[in-house]
Amino acid sequence: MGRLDAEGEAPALAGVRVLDLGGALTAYAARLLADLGADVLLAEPPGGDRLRRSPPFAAGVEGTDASLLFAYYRATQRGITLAAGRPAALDLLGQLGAMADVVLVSPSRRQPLAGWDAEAGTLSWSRPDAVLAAITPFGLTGPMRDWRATPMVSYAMSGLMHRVGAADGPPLAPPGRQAWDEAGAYAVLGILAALWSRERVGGQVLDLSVHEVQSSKDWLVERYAVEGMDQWGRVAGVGYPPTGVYQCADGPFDVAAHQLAHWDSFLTMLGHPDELSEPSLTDPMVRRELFDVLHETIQQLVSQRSRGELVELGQRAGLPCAMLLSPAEFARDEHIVARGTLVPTPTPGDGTVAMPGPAHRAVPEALVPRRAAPRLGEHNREVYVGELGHTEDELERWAGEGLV
Amino acid sequence: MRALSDAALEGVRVLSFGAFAAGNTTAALLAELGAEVAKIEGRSRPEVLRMPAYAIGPVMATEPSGVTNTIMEAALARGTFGLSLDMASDAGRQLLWRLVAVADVVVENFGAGVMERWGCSFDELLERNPRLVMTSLSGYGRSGPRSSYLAYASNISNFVGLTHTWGYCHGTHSDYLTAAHAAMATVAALHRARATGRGVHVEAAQVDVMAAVLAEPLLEAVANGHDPGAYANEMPGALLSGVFPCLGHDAWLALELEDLDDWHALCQVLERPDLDTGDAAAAEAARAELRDAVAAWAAARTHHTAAHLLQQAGLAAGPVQSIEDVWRDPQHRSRGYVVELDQPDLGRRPYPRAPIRLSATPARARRAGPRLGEHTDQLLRTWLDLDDDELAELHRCGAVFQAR
Repeated sequence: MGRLDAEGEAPALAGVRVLDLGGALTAYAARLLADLGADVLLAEPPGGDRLRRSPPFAAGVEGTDASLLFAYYRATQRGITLAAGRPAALDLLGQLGAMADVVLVSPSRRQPLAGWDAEAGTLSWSRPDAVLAAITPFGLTGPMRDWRATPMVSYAMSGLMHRVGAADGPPLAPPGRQAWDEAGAYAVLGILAALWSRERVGGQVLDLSVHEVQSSKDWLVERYAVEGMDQWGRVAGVGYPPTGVYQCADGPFDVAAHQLAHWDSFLTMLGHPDELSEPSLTDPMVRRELFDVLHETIQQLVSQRSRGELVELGQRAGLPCAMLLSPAEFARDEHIVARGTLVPTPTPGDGTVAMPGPAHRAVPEALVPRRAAPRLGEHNREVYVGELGHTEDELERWAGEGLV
Repeated sequence: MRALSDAALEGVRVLSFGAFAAGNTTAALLAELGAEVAKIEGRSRPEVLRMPAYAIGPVMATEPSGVTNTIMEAALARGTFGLSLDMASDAGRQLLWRLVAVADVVVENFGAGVMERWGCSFDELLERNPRLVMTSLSGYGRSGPRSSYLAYASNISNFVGLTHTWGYCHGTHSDYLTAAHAAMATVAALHRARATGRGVHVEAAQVDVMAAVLAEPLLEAVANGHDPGAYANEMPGALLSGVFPCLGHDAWLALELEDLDDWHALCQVLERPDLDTGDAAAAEAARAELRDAVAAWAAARTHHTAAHLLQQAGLAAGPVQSIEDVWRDPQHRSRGYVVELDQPDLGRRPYPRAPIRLSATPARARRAGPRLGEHTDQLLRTWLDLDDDELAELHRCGAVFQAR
């Protein structure tokens, strides 16, 4: 990239304060905001955020501060506990809200929030000039606004999953929590835009539906309007040989030869083998006709080769191709190591684990030092006593009442 | 041509070379938030997705200039204006430099070296506009041994471990995730440039973005040394998850139980108190039996009925929706999810509504993607104050093209 600035700059959201009451649905948005330099305060139920109970766990052993997933999503954030659904929490919410430029929520029947007016979609205690971002599975209005989802259920209902899987097998949900992560990225885009226009417009409410984010992709509405009911069904992949996945001596690799010139590149990669010298094969329609026999021929040609070497040769010849890697192989790959895509990250369990780093980079850099995700209630005293000016006695009383 | 005053990014000018799903979507997300986005295409180098191979259904259009267009491209370039420059000519490049001087953002996702060959590296563009935000999308990023690699989203899916854990190689999945992060990072960089008066080069690499949203399988592999393999709808941490065939053709119910309360609720719906064990270890042991019970129950119902009954019991369940289900989806319909947008050659067609619903500055596309060069003269007049003579000279030397 361009010029490197050794000193770095203040991050985009330096000085912006975020209060997050949304739990698992707002976790990725909170992570992105923290990576942009915002001071993110997670307020979780006294029993702990749901992600604290989500695997993977350090050394595979469950425990309050052992979830690596929580350590990942909540790195660099501070954490307090608060039973935010109780009317008794209103005073404290008001005091916390008075400090917050951005409030993240995901109100639901299971996760009630004092001061939340579900009909109006407003919060009684947030500042008028705050950005109130509600990330919910289905949005704040509509007949299914109270429906519950998980990332898997979100993806299932989006219309995307119906196409994904083997032709004779079940639809397949993507690994991880991607449908919700993606909604988090959209939410932060909306929050940043709202902050951009804040002086002109004031505060506003973001009603972000995971369902709408997911259904907006891959031309679902557009396709139905001209094609009707699914014509594609579940398809294992698009294209025809040499596009496909092949087994090399040391593992699988794939070719995506979607342009005419890629056939030549492919032949160059393989050193123009006699088996593929038939001139009519330059026509993609011919290759489509000969799908099975060509796939088998190519498989034979590459079965004793090294995939790393083939990828190098292919890329040099202008062919989009890649190794098909497991997560561990990806993490070890020389390119990923050289880029530092995974970075040592402290965990609340006093360890340090290599975790994915910032999802994007910038020059000049404005990197935020990564701190461990909070232990349960770690910043209660710092926030309630130090910042809000309450006494130790009050804090103790609230703890006794189960409020914090 | 001026953005409406209820737009968050009103007054922000974007020059976009963004192509394919990732580059187009980045620009469209900014346009929906109210930025004035010029989509740059060469008269002899039109966007690839305009080509007949990318037509959806039988619908194609041919513009008066002879360039073709598809619904796919019209959807992806929604909200942008068409600017046609010949970047192969000196006059075209000089015109771009003048536009950069009055723009806020440049978006590009060319292969490595293209912008540099045009004298349009970040450092060179910064000389024209010291506050410029430039956003570069790529598969592998601009550093590391594989930085020059060509990649489609399917290659990325294979390389990052997504195919390995999904059991499926997706052709666009990482494009959308990367675009959402790139647009988000672009607005974050605008905040920085406004604060410091100095430009920022944003890098959104698909490998970094995908690592960020694949934290769960990566942490399992890297920290615990365990290959999660293909998830096959078994979501980590769930007491039970999966899809179940229902009445009708290719109709499936998706269901995920997050805790023992869910387990209990499901046993009640299924009228199987014998399986309602009350502790996690016993649930683990009874999982196969409960799965069989769900399968038998679901097989006797439609996927919609099954989902409604389970949601009434407070469970996270949903139909695996086909595109027809999505089209009819009562939640989408009640929120006005399908919108109609005009396009000069493709006509008025349905598209998904922009999901970023901000109360005061809602994201929305005013139009589908433009004709190639549809707004060239208009943009040059408003951005650069060019008069008739100057425009005529640019047309005479072939530096620009205006669609008629």
